[in-house]
Amino acid sequence: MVEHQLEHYLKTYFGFDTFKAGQQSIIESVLAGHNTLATLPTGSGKSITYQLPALLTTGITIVVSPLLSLMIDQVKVLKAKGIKRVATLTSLHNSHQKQRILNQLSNVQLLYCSPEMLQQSQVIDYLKQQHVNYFVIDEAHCLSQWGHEFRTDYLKLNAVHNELGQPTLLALSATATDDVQQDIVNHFNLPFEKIIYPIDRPNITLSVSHVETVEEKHRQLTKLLEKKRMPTMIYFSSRMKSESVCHMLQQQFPDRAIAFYHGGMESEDRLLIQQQFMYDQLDVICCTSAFGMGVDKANIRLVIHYHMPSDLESYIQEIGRAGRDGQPSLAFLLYQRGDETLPFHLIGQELPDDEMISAFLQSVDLSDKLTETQERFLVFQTEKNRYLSNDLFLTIRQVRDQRLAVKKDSIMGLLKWIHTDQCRRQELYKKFQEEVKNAEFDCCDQCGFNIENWELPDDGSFYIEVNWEKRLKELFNKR
Amino acid sequence: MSFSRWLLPRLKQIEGERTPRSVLHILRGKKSAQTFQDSRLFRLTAFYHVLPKLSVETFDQAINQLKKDGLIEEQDSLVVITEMGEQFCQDDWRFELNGMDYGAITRPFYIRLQLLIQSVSNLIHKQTQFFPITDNESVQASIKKLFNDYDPLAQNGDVLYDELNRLFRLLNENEANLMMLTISGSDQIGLSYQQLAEKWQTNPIMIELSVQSALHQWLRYISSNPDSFNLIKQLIPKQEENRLTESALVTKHMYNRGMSIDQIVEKRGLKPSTIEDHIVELAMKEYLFSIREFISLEDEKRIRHVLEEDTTKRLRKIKEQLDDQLSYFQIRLVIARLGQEKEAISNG
Repeated sequence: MVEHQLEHYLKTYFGFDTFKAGQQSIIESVLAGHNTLATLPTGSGKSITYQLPALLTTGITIVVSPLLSLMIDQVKVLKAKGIKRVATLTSLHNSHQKQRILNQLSNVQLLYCSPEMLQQSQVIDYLKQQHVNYFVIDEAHCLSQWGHEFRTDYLKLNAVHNELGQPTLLALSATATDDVQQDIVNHFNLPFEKIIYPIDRPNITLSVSHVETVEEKHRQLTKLLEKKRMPTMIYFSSRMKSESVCHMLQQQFPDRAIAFYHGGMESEDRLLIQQQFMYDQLDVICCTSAFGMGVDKANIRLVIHYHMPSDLESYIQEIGRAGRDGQPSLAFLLYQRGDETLPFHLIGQELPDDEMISAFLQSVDLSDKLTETQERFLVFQTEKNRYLSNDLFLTIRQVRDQRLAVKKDSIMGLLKWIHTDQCRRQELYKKFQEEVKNAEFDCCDQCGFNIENWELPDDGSFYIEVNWEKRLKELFNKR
Repeated sequence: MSFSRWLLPRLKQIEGERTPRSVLHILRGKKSAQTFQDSRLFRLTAFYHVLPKLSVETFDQAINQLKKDGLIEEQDSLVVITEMGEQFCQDDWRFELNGMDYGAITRPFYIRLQLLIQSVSNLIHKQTQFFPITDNESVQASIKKLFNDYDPLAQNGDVLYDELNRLFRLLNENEANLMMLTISGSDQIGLSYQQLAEKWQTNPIMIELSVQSALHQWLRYISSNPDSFNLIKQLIPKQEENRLTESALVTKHMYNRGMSIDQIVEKRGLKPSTIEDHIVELAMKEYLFSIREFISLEDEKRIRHVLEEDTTKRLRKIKEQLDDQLSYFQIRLVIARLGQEKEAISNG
């Protein structure tokens, strides 16, 4: 398809005049029927690379994604744009709803699917009756045991792909190292066209601050916020902490709108908070990583990490929400010695300990004791190794230890970055791309950035009308 | 006011009779005959189903707080108000709640109203792309249908504007401002209860109660003046009670407020047999309606036994078999209940 034609469809369906870097070559590769492995930075419109091909062809495009909330958000965005022939198929549906969706598959252009749904023979049978154009794997790094989010149920995708008659593949990720890319290609054992785009963000300034105590952390936080009113995200690893720090900041900054957001809230409240942030009604949002899926807010100026995440990939994704408008933005990580115990603790919860493995193998009822990921791991490994291994316990323990080692390495990788005395930009991105661009504004604290000298324009505050009568007139556009 | 202090007068109602948790069941609107009966017996019908999502933890926390403050005690797990507690039992915070009548429809009504206003406001401002404030597809579908059937955008949304204006005027200014802040429009998203609580310096549960109270006032007003709310009345979910005759509905509301048959007879100036007919209708059509106030379990069993033996269902004959000790009214109640159970079974 010629260039101006594609742009024409981009405008028609999505309202954009031009493609962002990388989008067009991926779309062309997919439309030409090449299996494609592509990386694009967060916030650069990854989803359009399969949405547009899906809309331009008859038949169905299957998108596999591990994140329910992301799928739901995507469908919402599409529906808001008037694109209605989209559906999700996830464990959130009951059997009645699932059947209804399966019956209407011929009307669906874009089907978002969780990987476990594709394990159900009923689903596969229905899909086989459709013409499947494209098989898209979002967050494809989940296929790799070197990836930061290895998902066992992704390892059955090649079988599914074969059953569906090998439609054109598109494997997408924001962050995929060479090892991860190789794992993806090996899994399908097919030729791939690789389109790897750099993920570095030259308009984001990087800074880390080492503190000795919690009080000092809070003082630093206050210092950052009191500089300016600006759209700010503060990331936490704990829901409780996000609430308590939020309340503390509300006390300190009574004239700012500050709210918290985490996965433990009612879904209706989460929607409100997310939308308020989009509408610039909120200045600061104290959140866990549950926030931000599908949030495409252009003017976030400041992303603070109150807690460190568990790997470089997550950190890159999270700070990537800053400055999508290209304006100067700051990513600031607060590190107190010992902060790494939290992510170390979290990976412990993801994988079973020795006792759990042996209890599971002896069919002891563990239903209350295992987390969802622990159980998934045990079920998968038992199934996979049952007939291959002489000592199932030893085999599973070995796999577990390998996985644990990868995870620990990831945390150590981020810790190393926190303690580096080299340029943070180089150190952060060099694992993911050959060349790292120079900073457009301030580079990082190692290259001379100092928070004291950081200047940004004041965005002004959002005014909320409290008088009901005036507000009712505003709602109906009456003067 | 804290939630625990607000709870205190409710606990006073059940003092010495029930465990604290029975109030939790009432607030959450538990669908059991016991809870239903309790709300009526202890005059707590106004609070039935007003906090459907109240967690056990939050409730127990409030109870523990009251114990710590020395305002209540538990004796044999029943609630007892202490002498100090008695001083805080004046009930100034009843709001205008009417949970027994509206509790079950308030949430769906409210979310539909919010989505309708958000949609109309966006379209009036020529914004065709926006994120609906709810993901619930059946709510979205109901508003879409409303747009097809009633065209709420006609005359720049004046019909809706006018109906809303009248509803907000029913509320006091503080309530009206609070309600308006929960509404999302083209340029601004509504605030959550948590955020409103921060603004009003109270807690989210008290905000929720205020919102419920405002909505119950609206629902009552719309129900009694349906012709003045042609658009908004479409948002009220059809209730079971719509199957009741209008006169039985009036009786039901009075009964739910704790009035006895005699009191209703006097208040309505109707014959006792008419009111009894209404009660039988309720027993037949309303799953939650308890007949225990009119007939003991033992007598009910006796009647059921006779009914099983005698398939003619002729009242005269049945009454004779029961040695004339039970009234026609009581027999009819049990028959009504049996009919309802059969219907429940055949409906699966």
